[in-house]
Amino acid sequence: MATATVTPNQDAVIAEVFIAAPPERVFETITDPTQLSKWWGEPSLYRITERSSDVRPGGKWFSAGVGADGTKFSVEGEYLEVDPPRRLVHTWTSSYMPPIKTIVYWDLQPQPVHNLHPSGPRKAGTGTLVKLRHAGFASLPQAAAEHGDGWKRVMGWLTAFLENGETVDMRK
Amino acid sequence: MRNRSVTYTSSRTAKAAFQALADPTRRAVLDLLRRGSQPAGQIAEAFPVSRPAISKHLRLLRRAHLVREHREGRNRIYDLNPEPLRAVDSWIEQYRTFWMSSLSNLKTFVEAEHARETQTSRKPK
Repeated sequence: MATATVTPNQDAVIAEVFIAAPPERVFETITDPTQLSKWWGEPSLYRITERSSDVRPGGKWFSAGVGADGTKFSVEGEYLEVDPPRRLVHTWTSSYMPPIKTIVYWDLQPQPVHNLHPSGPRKAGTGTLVKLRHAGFASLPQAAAEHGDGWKRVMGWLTAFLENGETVDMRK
Repeated sequence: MRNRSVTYTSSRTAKAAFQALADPTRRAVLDLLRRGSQPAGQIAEAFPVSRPAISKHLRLLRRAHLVREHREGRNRIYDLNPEPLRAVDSWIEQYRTFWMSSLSNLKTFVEAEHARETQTSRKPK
């Protein structure tokens, strides 16, 4: 299945997956609003209620959803590079984080596929190695310090964590 | 200071942690302490800033509960308190798991759709 790691400088997530379908098919799935909600995020944790994409450089994309706890959120951005079927680059800004623009880079590399199922019908064709890089997280602590008042939910969550740490400390 | 009661308001505590982390020198001090506890003098030697400036940084880090201080004779020894850092780190960790599950879902969805589409278009022999 997919792999995902964080770079040592804590600035980016690098993720990769091989898909037994051609790059054109994958590119369609990562840009078409109706198909996006079929795979994006974790359906058990939240539900996407709205999604729009204007797939061209400078075009905007928008997504809104509801968490399992009823909290509304949105994520949006702008397409920076649209080069079907090989490359897609767009910004990413979410309502639940400081207002920094992180950037998502999609690289779709064609890979030959031979005989996926040894005992089944022979399949030959082109698959896709999907390489994703989501970068720009290193500036988060600084942005958080500057926008400390905006997002109570985040602060509440972080505080609970900090307060747990203090409790452990006081017990020593 | 052992018996002081902690009476911070929630948002002040969290804000202190973020503000402490916003400075690159302070982040570098935390990186240094990741390797193990250090006396104040040794921390100061590692940076091209004045001793008073380092003392100020350490005071801020202490107030934000990112480091702890104890005395050994005349020395002030600092060590890292990893818990608050884990909270800030987990922004990017959230996204690591988000992309891992999203790409796995993408694979499942595209492969199923593609198999369906190619099967439908395949001519019977």
